[in-house]
This record gives sequence, C-alpha cells and structure tokens, in this order.
Amino acid sequence: MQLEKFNYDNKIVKYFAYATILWGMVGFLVGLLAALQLVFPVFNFNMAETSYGRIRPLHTNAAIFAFVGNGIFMGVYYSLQRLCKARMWSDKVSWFHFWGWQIIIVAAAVTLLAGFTQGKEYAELEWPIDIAIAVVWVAFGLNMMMTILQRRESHLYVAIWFYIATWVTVAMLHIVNSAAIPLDFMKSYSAYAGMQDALVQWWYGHNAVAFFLTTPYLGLMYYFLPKAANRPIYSYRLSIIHFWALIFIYIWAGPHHLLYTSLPDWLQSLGVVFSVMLIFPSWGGMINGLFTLRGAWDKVREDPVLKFMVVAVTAYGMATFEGPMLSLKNVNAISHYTDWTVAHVHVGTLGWNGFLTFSVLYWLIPRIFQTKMYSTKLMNWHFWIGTLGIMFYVIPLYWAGFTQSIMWKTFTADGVLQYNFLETVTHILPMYGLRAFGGFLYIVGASLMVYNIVKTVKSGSLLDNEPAEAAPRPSLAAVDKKYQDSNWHRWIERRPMQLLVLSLIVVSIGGLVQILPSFLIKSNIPTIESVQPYTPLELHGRDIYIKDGCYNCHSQMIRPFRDEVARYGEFSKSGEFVYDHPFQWGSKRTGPDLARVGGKYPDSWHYYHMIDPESMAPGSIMPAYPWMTEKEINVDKTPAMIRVMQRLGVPYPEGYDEQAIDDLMEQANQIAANLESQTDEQVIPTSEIVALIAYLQRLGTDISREAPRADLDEE
Amino acid sequence: MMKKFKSTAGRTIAGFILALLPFVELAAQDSQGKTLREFAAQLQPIEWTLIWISVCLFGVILYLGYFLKTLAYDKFYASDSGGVSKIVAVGVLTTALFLGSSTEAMAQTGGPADFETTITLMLLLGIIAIQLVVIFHLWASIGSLLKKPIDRPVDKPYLMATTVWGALWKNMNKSVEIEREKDVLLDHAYDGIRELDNDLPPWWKWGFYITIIFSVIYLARYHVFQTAPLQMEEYEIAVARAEAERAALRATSPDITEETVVFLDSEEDLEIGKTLYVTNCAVCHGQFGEGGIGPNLVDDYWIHGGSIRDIFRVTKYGVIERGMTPWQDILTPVQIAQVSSFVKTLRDTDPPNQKEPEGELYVPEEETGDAEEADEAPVG
Repeated sequence: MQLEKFNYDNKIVKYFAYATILWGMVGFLVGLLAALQLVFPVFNFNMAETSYGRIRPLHTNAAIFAFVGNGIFMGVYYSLQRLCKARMWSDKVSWFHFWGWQIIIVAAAVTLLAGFTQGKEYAELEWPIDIAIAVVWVAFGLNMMMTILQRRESHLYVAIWFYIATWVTVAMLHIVNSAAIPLDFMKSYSAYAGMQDALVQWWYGHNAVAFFLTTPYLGLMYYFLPKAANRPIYSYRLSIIHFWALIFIYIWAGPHHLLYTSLPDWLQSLGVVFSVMLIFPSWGGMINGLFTLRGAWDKVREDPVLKFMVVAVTAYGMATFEGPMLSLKNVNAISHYTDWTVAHVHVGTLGWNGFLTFSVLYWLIPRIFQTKMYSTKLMNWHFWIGTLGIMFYVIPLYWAGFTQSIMWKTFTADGVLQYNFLETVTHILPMYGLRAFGGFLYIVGASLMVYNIVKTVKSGSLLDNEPAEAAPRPSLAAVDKKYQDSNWHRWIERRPMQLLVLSLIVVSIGGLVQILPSFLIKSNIPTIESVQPYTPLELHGRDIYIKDGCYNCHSQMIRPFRDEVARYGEFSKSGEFVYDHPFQWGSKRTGPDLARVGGKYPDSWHYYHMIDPESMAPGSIMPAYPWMTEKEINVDKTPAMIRVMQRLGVPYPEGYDEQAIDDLMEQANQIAANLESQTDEQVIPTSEIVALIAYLQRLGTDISREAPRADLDEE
Repeated sequence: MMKKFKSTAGRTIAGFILALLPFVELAAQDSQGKTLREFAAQLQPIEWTLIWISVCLFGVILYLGYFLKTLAYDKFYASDSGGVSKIVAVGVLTTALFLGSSTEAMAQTGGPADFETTITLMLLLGIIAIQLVVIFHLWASIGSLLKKPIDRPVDKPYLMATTVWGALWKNMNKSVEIEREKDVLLDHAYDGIRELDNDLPPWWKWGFYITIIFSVIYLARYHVFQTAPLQMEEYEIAVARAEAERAALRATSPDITEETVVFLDSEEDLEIGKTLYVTNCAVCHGQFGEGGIGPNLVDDYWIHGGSIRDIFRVTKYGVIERGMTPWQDILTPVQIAQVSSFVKTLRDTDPPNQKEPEGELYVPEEETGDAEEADEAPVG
C-alpha cells in the first residue's frame, strides 16, 4: 500500500508547553502568596486587589485553567496527531486556540484581581470571558474532531475516548453553570438562585475536577506512560469498563459537596452512593497505569520521568479513594468546611496533575527539540523536593482540618461550646505555616525544572514539522468487515461522532435526574413566608461581598448540628435562599459562618472590624478593608439591578426600580447616622462599608421576623 | 471443584445465619425494628470497631479457605481430604457461636453498663483471637502446600508462586505472566503503543459489585425502609441527648436565673469572671470597663439597670437592637453570674479613656436599703 507523507505540528506543542510552565509557576506563586496571607495577614497589603478573597480565586483559576488547561492542550496536541497519524486539522485554528486561551487567562487574571466575579467557585469569570471560553473551547473541539475524522488509523485509542468525553462534558458544564443575566459589561447575576444554584454549581464544580483535572489527564497517562515505560497497556477491557463507568458515575456525585446543607435528602443520598461507586472505576485507571509498569520497575528506579508518573498515578489512586470516604456523611460531618478538603484537593492537583504534567514535559521537550534533557540529576532533585513539598503541604493540613473540626464540635460538661471560633483558627496557624513551607518546596522543585528545560531547549533545536508517514485509512465498510468478529466495543472505536454522542448521553443522565426535579418539583424548597427580597442597599452590599470574595472564607450555611446551632443559630433552610442570585453557601470556613450574622453585632462593630479586624478580634487573620469607608457604591446602577432581579423572578413590586434609589438612600442615611453616633466619625452614606453592613445585618434575620423576642422588651 | 465449593458456601451461609440469629430475634420483638436500632445505638465505638474487625477477619477466613481448597485441588487434581473444610468450618462456627452468645449477652444482661461493656469486649476479643488462630493455620497450610512440587505443566499463575503473599496477589489479579503475555497481546498498535487484554482483576470487579450493593442498601435504608436517620432526625437525636445531659446536670446543681442570681464574692469566682470578661466582653466594653462600642461599666449610670440581676439579665439575653450579644448559648448560667459579679467590682475603678456616662443613674441597693437586698439573699 502507498504510504502517505505528512508532518506533525511540534511548534504548537512547544507553545502550549511554554504556556504550561509559565502559568504553572504563576499559579504556584499566587498559591504561595495565599498560603502566606493565612499566616501573616500583612501579605494582603491592605489593597482590594491583593486581598485573600481575590487572590484565592486567582490561584485556583490559574492552577486549573491556565496550568492544567495548557497542560491538557500540550498533551493532546502532541499525542492526538500521533495517535491519529495525522497533522492537526487546521494550523489557523490551532493558533486561534492557543492565543485565544492565553488572552482569556490574562483577562481572567486582570478581572479577578479587579473584583469582577460571578461569585461561584471555579466559575468566577464574568460573562464576556465565559463566552470567549465557549468560543475557544469549540475551536479546540472542532480542531480535535476534524483531526480525528481525517485520521489514518482505523480505530481510536483509549486516550482519545477520554479526550472526546472531556471536550463534550466540559462544554455542557460550562454552558449550563455560567447561565446568567448581565447587568452591564462586567457584571451579571446567576440565572439560578439559592439551593438550585448550589446544586448546579457543584454539579459543575465537582465535574470540573472530573472532566478537567481527571479524564483528560487519564488520556495523557494512557499515551505517555506506556510510551515512557515502553510497555503495552495492561488491560484493554479494563480500559473500556472503567472509561464508561467513570464518565457515567462521576456526573452524579456533585451533591457530596452539599451534605448536611439544606439540599433535599434524596439528592444528598444520591451524591453519597455515586461517590462510593466511583472508587473502582477511578482505580481502574490507576491499575491500568501501575500494572502497565509490570516488568519495567527496574526502569522506574532509573528514569525520573517514570518516577513522576508513578507518584502521579499513586496520588490519583489515593485522592480517588479519599474522595468517596469524604463523601460518607459521618466523615463529611467532620471534614467539610475545614482544611481537610484543601489537603485532599492538593493531593490530586500537586500529585496527580502537577507530577504528570512534569513527567510529560520532561518526556516531550527533549523529543521535539531533538536532544536529551540537560540534567537527569536535576530531574531527580525536582522529584524529591517536589514529593517532600507535597508531604509538607498535605500532612499539616490534614492535621489542621481534623483538629479544628473537633474543636468546633467540643462542648464543655455544662453543655456550652468549649472554644470560640477565633481560638480554633489561631490554634492551627502553625500548620498553615508548614503548609506554606510545603508549597515553597514545591516551587523550588518546579524552578529546577524551568532551569533544566531552558538549558535543554538551548542545547537542541525544535523540529517544527516532524515528518511522518502512514498508509491511508481503509474505508469504514472495509474495516467493519475486517473486524466483524471482534468485540462489540471495536464498533464504536472507529466511529468518533457516535462516540461523542454516546458520551454526551451518558454524562447527561446524572445531571438531568438530579437537576430537573429540583427545579420542577416545588416541595424541594419549602416556602418561608417571612423571607423577603433584599433592599436595594443590601443588594449593593451583596455585590461587595461577592466582589471581595468573602465566600472564599465564610460559609452561609448552618448545618443541622448541635454545635453549629449553638455557635451560629438556627440551622439554614432552603427557603431562606430563594432570592440569592448567586448562592453564597461557601465551601470553607477559614472564618466563621455568616448565615445568621445579622443583628449579632452592632453596626459599629462591623465598621471597626472591616477597617481593622484585629481591633475587634485580636489574633484574627482576616484581611483589613480600610478603603471601604471611602469607596462609594454606584447608586445609579440601582434601578437596573432591580430590573435584572425582576427578570430573574425576584418579586419586587411593579415599577419598584423607580423608587429603589430613594429607599436605598433612606436606609443608607439611617445606617450612617447610627454609625456616626456610635463611632463619632464621619460616615459617607453611599460608602461601600454602609452597603456591606446593611447586607450583613440582614443575613439570616428574615426567618425570625414574625416572632420578635419578647424578653428584650424594655421593662 | 464446584461441588466442593458449594458445600463450603452452604456451611458459610449456615454460619452467617447462626451468627445473625440473635439479631433476627431482637428484630422480631418489635415489628418496627426499633429494638434492633436501640440495641445498635447502645454499642460503644470500641465495640463497633471490634465487630468490624471480626467481620473483616471472617471475610479473610472465607477467602483463605476458598483459596486453600482451590490450590489443593489444582495442585493435585484431587479433592482435599476434608481437612480444609474442617478448618474453615471451625472458623465459621466459632465466629457464629461467639457472635451469637455475645450479642445475646449484651441484650440480656441487666447489670451495670460498665460490666456489660467489659463482658462484650472480652467476648469480642475472644472471637478475634480464635479467628486469628484460624487464619494463621490456613496461612501455614497454604504455605506448605505451595512448597509441594508439581510434576506437570500448569496454567494458573498462583501455582508457580513460592510465597503465600505472591500466590494470593496472583490469584487476586489473575494477570497473565509477563513471560506469556504474548497470548493476550492484541493485534493493534497506536503510535507503537500495544495493548494487552488481561482480565479484570477479580478484587477490582468484586469491589465494584460491593460498592453497588452498598449503594442499593444505603438508599433503601434511608429512603425506602427509613431505618437510618436522615439529617433532621440525627439533629433531633443529638439535641435530645444534649437536653438529657443538661437535665442530669441541673438535677445536681440547680440553674441560676435572673431571679435567683446573687453577687458572688469569692475570689475564685471573681477571678474566673475576670478571665471571661477579658475574652468575651473587653472587645466592646474596654479592657478595664472604660467602654468602647459598648457603654462603660465603671460609673453609676446604667442603660438597663445596674443591679446584679439586671446585669445578669442583659448579659444572658443581650440587647440585640443595641448590639449587645445574648450570651446564654455561649456561657453557662454560672459563668454569666461570675462575669456579672466581676462587672459589679469594676465600679469606681476610674480607668483612663472612660466613655461618657450613658443611661440613668442607678442607686445601689446598699444605699436605699430597700427590699431588693432581701431578694438577693441566697435561695434555699
């Protein structure tokens, strides 16, 4: 048969590799800054742009979408061409994809620091960027699918199944979760509210982990691990079973992020059982990776690339075992809202994503530059320092999370809480210090890699277009005939479009079963009559709460536990959040829960606390927000805000937008006057701090509005 | 071989039923199944742990017994002499008997709780000890069997292992040996990557099945039979338990209320009161009572009254509209009395930076000498 000659595009791989390294270092350094802020609040630098509430989203977005995102594209562009025996379909689309993604990252970094956020974790970016992401993602999918359709191989290798499922699922998640109504160019409000928003968000958030951090990286593992070890994949049939089981089951597990919240019980239970059922499909990937190394363990001792891969796959196995355990309600009751979750996530990201990315870089850079890695010794140093860094990162955080949770739950013999919240924070600060040190070590290791790669690149020369040749693909009918006796799965392996559609169907089921009923069946959110929409000033305050990322440290969800009710008040009910676009339940309590902070402290307490938290709570690690007394809200936006809320179904009376500014000013003047009398300081009624105090004083108070406390009447 | 397996399986099931009999009886006493749940709720964490260890060891015994039988059969093309079955049977029966008697003991002993716990623990430890002996025996048997030479070609990887671990590992994974992996090498290659077609590892497969079974039972328990408490019920249980504890505490030391509180003048109480003040109150009322956000606590002017009972009441219930926190969920009545007493001692200490007086002049009871003093006399 006549062989066709063609080229692999290595230049695009190089660019994605460089972007991976660059954004990786940025993401790590921002992470280190965030870690330091938790130990030394001075690192918040008293500026809005550098305060923890904005730095933490920048870290997570940079690490996930910039570092791992570019890592995915690097690996896919390298492996897909070779697995398809074809060049990428269109160089133009490749470059559009590359530059589009980098511009999105820069835009994300700038807007996140500037405070433009939708206020939903890992989905913070505002709507214009969301649209740009969708466009670039479609370009990537088009380029990938067209390359696959033009392939010279008759069947698709397992790595490509994972790439296809990744693409279709991420597209679905991103579009559904980002649905919002814009207020203006850089501000929008989530289309969903309260419990429903929470459900959609964690369906998205959990599966961002599944389909951005896991499935594409499994695809990379399936290509680069057997390549590096020069061994055949252990079990083809295991890869089939674990692929389909994994993508089907993963989608259902989102509610395990909302255990013991006011999410309906049936959804919580589904979240638990599907998480438990995930263990073995996840481990299928680990087994297929580790067992592929059978007969190559002597090489693992020699080759740092394989060492990185072994730790990555092992970290994957540990994280995917721990995840289901954390989804058991009795474990989750301890772990949730604490640093335990943070530690768990970092086993996955630092171990699995980080180390696999490093191994791919070390394997691929010398190949496209036609040389050898500059120093194997430095690679080994990177490996050991990085591993040590992970240890120093996660072990103290496990300890911190467990300790803090137990402290939260401890009652004295008299039946009152033993520790106030702040004591539980200051107690674990040394652990935070060790964590920051672990992160520092990880960065030291990565820096060695940067140096090593720079030296390697200098010593080699890029093979821009790598020549290759292969026979053209026989017709589908011919292949069908040839393989008619082989197993059923081979059929779909030669039909990429059918594989794409089937994947979409498989991943849609879980979401449909969980999300649709919670929107359609009213009993899922029992109505509470006394819960009213926010006042215009409170809406502004809520915007500030979201803008400065308060949700990164404060939950608004009191779980029905004795200690939480004693500490924060009556447990939260789903009916209380029906006007919350977006929901702000949070996922971590670095600070105390705020669901019922309304009325707990005087206005002046909040005033002083925002200017200098330590003046009210000595030892607090909360950043200071002194500019809030000067910075003013944009009152003119108020009518438009009301109209957007009305479109979202919040029942303000007809024509209320006309009256909103008057109401806002009345409430603002009242709070300002109150503050002035309590603090003897000039307070600007339209300052951010007044709006924020209005919002905070409202939180959680509606539920008791009908029953004022009799015991407080003046005698 | 299948026949033999069936007989082992039969015995196993019989053993399990025997072990479960006491549970069945208990459940039968109440159609709601409440007795069983109450019984389960009485178990201490250590007992649960031991029971789980025992159940796991039981699984290990079954697996080792099954493996030993398979190994013996494969090695000699023959059924075993019955010895293996006997060992397994001993393991199963002792587990069953002890579990049975221990649960019955737990259910029926009417003695003090400590005594019951001790008996239960001893029984459970006894079971575990016997199980360990059985496991050791099985382990040794497998080891000695592996050492016996075979004089014919074999296709089962675990027959070629020399250690028990190795044999079990191979049996658990059912991997084709590397030397013979060509047999399962598939005919395709992707960019040079080949694929083997090893079977699914049995432990993986069974693990997956077990999680599915777990899920079905889990959903059924919570949502069909409703025998496990959902979160509201869990919360009510926890609150009820706390209430009971508090009631027990109050039975021995009566509660102090705003009606019964008196000034506590012992040095010890005032010292505790001071500590409580510094941690909880100083933020708003100043380190020395000079005032801050809140009013000063050193002059004779009080917004809500200056008697010990007034201070106790305001501390306990708070004054939400003025920002005073209610402390009744955070401090105990005794602590509120202690801190209120300490506040009384701040009078006329005249610290620097005093906030201007607020509220009305309060005339201390000593000076009026009216009935209030009598009211503050100790109760009882």
